[in-house]
Amino acid sequence: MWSELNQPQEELILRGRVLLPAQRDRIVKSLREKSSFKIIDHMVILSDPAQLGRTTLNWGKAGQEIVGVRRKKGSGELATQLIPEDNPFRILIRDGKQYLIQLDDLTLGWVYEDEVVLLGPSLENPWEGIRRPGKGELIEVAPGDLNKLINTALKYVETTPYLRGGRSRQGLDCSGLIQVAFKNALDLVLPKHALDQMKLGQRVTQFEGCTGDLVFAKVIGRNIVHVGLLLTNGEKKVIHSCLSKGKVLAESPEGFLKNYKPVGYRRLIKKVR
Amino acid sequence: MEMVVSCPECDENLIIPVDAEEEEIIDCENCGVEIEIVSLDPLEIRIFEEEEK
Ligand SMILES: [Zn+2]
Repeated sequence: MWSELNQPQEELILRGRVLLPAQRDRIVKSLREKSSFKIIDHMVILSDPAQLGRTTLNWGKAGQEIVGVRRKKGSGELATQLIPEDNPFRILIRDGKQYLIQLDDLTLGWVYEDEVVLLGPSLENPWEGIRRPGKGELIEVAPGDLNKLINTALKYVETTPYLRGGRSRQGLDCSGLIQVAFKNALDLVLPKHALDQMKLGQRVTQFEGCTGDLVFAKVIGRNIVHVGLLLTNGEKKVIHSCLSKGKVLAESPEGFLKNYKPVGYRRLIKKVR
Repeated sequence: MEMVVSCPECDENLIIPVDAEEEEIIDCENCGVEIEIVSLDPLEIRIFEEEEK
């Protein structure tokens, strides 16, 4: 990042690149406090998909069955996972043999160059047409789609282990299960993190919660947000990837409440005939 | 009736839904920060900070 001083107009023009909007906000805020000049912000935010035309070095796909996307460069800690069936990711930074990439769900993380296949920098925007549910929004689906969503999630029950950051048949974390179910059943792309999923759709109360709604809950005794999918027709169940039990479960509400305290319910989809 | 307080992060009006429950987490429409409703009567809120998993 650099700045230019436009002396006669008393303007300070900021240029260059930052990764996140919060970093830009911090820079602008601290300069506003320290300088009497008018701050003009022309910084490029690498992670902003609206600027992808000028911030994408290349597009890529997983080059092996499952690719771990790491939170930090070279660390083993998973942010998420990539599989070859995913929409292409974009490369924001190259550093040695590693790339900082952004997935179609806007998650950021690091991969090694030999784990991925490059598709070329001038690919026609492969994210065009991706449906990402927004805040306050209800996406209309056919009645059969709700069953499709539940059945997709149920496929992982008892067969798939809990894996932090997991988003593949190797393992799923709580938000990964929700992400995979919505993507595979309804072709909707949700963010990876449970707290980000909680910002979507419409708030409903626990009494209104019904099949297809998401229940967000705190792990009892800890400030960790967990998410599950509600099933209320017939026997009531919460389908979730449970850290303490180490796998994906369809649990009775009573069983679920032993380990989790609900903190909110959200509806993302609406059945239409 | 809906309660309106200021967001502890951005100071904008924050509406506590009529049917809100204690321990529920809502987010500020203005700045997006997660707010935990600690108690309803008297109303006590705080910014929700998630632990590293
Ligand atoms: Zn706020």
